[in-house]
Amino acid sequence: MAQNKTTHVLIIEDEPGFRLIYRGVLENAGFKVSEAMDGRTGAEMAKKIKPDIILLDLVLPELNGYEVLTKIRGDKITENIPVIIFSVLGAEKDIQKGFELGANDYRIKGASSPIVIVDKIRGLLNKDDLDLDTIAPQ
Amino acid sequence: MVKTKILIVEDEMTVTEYLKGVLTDLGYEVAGNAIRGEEAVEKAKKLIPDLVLMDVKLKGEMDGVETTEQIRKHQDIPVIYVTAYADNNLMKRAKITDPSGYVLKPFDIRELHTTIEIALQKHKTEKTLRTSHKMLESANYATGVQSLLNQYTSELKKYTSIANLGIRLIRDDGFIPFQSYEGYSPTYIRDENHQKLDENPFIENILNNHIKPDIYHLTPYGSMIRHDMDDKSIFPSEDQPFMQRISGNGKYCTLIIIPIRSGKESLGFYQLNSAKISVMSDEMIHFLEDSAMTLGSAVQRIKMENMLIKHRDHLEELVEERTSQLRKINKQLEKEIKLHHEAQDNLKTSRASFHNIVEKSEEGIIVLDENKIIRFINPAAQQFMSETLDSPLNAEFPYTLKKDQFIEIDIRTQTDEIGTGEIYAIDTKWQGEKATLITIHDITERKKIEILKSDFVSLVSHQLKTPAAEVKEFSEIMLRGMMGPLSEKQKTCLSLMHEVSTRSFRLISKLLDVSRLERGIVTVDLKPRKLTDVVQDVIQNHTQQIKEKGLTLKTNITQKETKVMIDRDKTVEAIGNIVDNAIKFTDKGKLHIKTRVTSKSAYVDVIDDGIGIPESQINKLFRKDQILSGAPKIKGGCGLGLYIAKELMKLQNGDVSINTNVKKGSHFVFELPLAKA
Repeated sequence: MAQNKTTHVLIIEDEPGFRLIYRGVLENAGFKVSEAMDGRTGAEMAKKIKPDIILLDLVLPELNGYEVLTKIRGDKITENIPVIIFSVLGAEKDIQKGFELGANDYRIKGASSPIVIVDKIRGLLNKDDLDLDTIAPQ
Repeated sequence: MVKTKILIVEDEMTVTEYLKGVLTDLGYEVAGNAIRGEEAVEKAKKLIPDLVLMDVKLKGEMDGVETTEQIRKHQDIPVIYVTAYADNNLMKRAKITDPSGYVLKPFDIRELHTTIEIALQKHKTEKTLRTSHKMLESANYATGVQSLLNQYTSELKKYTSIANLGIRLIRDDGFIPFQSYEGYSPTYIRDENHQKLDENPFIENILNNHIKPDIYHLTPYGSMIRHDMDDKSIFPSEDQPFMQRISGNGKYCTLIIIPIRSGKESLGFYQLNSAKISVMSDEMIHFLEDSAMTLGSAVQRIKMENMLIKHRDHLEELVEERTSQLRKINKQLEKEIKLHHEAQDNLKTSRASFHNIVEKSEEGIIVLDENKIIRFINPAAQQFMSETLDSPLNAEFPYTLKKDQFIEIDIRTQTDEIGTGEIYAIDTKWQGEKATLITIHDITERKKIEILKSDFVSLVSHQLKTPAAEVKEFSEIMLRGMMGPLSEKQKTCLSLMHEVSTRSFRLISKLLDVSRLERGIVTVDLKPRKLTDVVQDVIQNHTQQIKEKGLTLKTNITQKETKVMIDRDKTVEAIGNIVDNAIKFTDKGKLHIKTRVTSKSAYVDVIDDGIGIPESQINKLFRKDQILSGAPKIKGGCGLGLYIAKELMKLQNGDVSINTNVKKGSHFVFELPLAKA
């Protein structure tokens, strides 16, 4: 595995229930979890703590998820951090906009098991390793 | 009655004594007599006689002519010369002194009497004329000439005893009113072409040259000559008065025309008509000629004065006209100046109000020079920019500008909150230089409202789905033991919670899908897609579910290169809905998904071993109202999935239907249009 250190996940989510659920799921999977309760704080924290991956809700106070994503992608420090949008919103245009703004994945909350998120994170982080393996001579 | 005083100058006493007797007898008073010239001059001064009888030949140093000249130097007294013989040389000299008459020795008393009377009369007339002449100098032409003519006419008539005498002057229009006589109406003389006389002055032809023999033919409107006149022999000599005896209607008449001139210019003529006078004496003719000459110059002067007055009047008119023009121009100028002032005032006002508007505007206004340096910033813009710039003036504008595009930037709102501003840049000029005008509009509120409006359904969806999703996921991770160990009862309760929340979540999702479909806001993006890819997507999405349910999945996917013209996501969703149902309604057995292709369409079959659909319900499938009918509420199925699948397929020119010829389970068939190769 590529992770020498514990994978650090930043959850930007205003709903306490979801924070609890995902902290549980992620910690259970062995990740380190940080939380932000609004968009502005989330964007600032992303810059400060430089997490390995960000779980981003869309409907947030201060700055909405799209605005936070724009900020993250517009800042040199955070522009390469993978972002998974997780939201109960799942209309086509919501998903499309998320990807346009630079999201790496999109998960509709409640549509499937929250456990799926762990696979998605692992998938995103391991993808880089796979690429490296492919490039590196055997 | 005062007697006429006469001074006799005669060097022969016998003659003097004779004359004294004759004159006294004729009713004159002999004031005195003189023998020598010097004595005569002295006595004339002293006695102031009315007339002097002067012997041309006098003894001593001064003869009669010289004596007359001396007297005339001081006094205006008529002089009649008395002479016994005609000495041509002496007579020539005498004529120059303009005597009033001549008397020859030996005396004819009657002739003497006539000569004295004519001399007195002539003198009186000339004196009057001279006075009136002076009067006229200052008079205007019309009244001047008229009074002059009246004066002359009455004097001439008195003197010549010719009643029918008219003075004809060329009028301004070039015609001469010519009085015919013997009852004929006045008429004009014209030339043969009826043109004005000043252009072809017929009267000048008459007066200066000759009266032409064909004169009668040229005056068809009546003329100075009777119509029945057939005497054409009118040939007056040059510069001579014209005198003709004419006849008509058996009567005879004398017509005399005497030119009135000034220099060479003809001004008109005297016209004398007389049936009585047959021949006029030379002396009378001379007198009339002299009078005509005087009148001519008087008229000419008046004419000139009149012209001067006219000219002056015209000049005044011109001046008046010019003045009025100037006044007009001045007025126009004043008007223009007023307008100019008004325009300037307006400009000032508008500048002031512009400044006011800019200062008080809620809209941020910034002017950048060509180097993107802020050259002007209004208070609103200063507030907006305070988030990024402390002293914006002369600072560089920190954003990249795109022409004709709105750019959103972070701003500090008037209420000191962080908000969104929309900037727009246009080319302008600032103090003569090329510049960029930037407006900043606070769209914070608008953005909020926009989100509210456009995402109303999303928001409602979010508010409804969030608790359902939370309950669902909570129950799930608890069931997985992530929150600690659970008792069997707890597990049962949580399972039920999970199922209910899942159903609730799906119901909300489907309702929102229906809402979107019905509002027509669902659009499809039709592209050629590989049929196998679409089916693989569906299978992948349901692998977990199938696994969890313990079902067997059988796939028959052939025609791997077949392409269909669809919206991939919509098709995956539509087929997914059916697969969901199939999994839901099949507790044991297998799920079969296969593809077929005909020349017409491609097909996807979803077949399950489930409970199937009761015949009575088949007609109600794919209908929205099914949810309200209380029909198959089996295991969390809401029934909307079929309706949505049908609607989505229809949007893509495809279809979904149920194969009713099955004994067990259910068989749904998707029809997808083929992409043209």
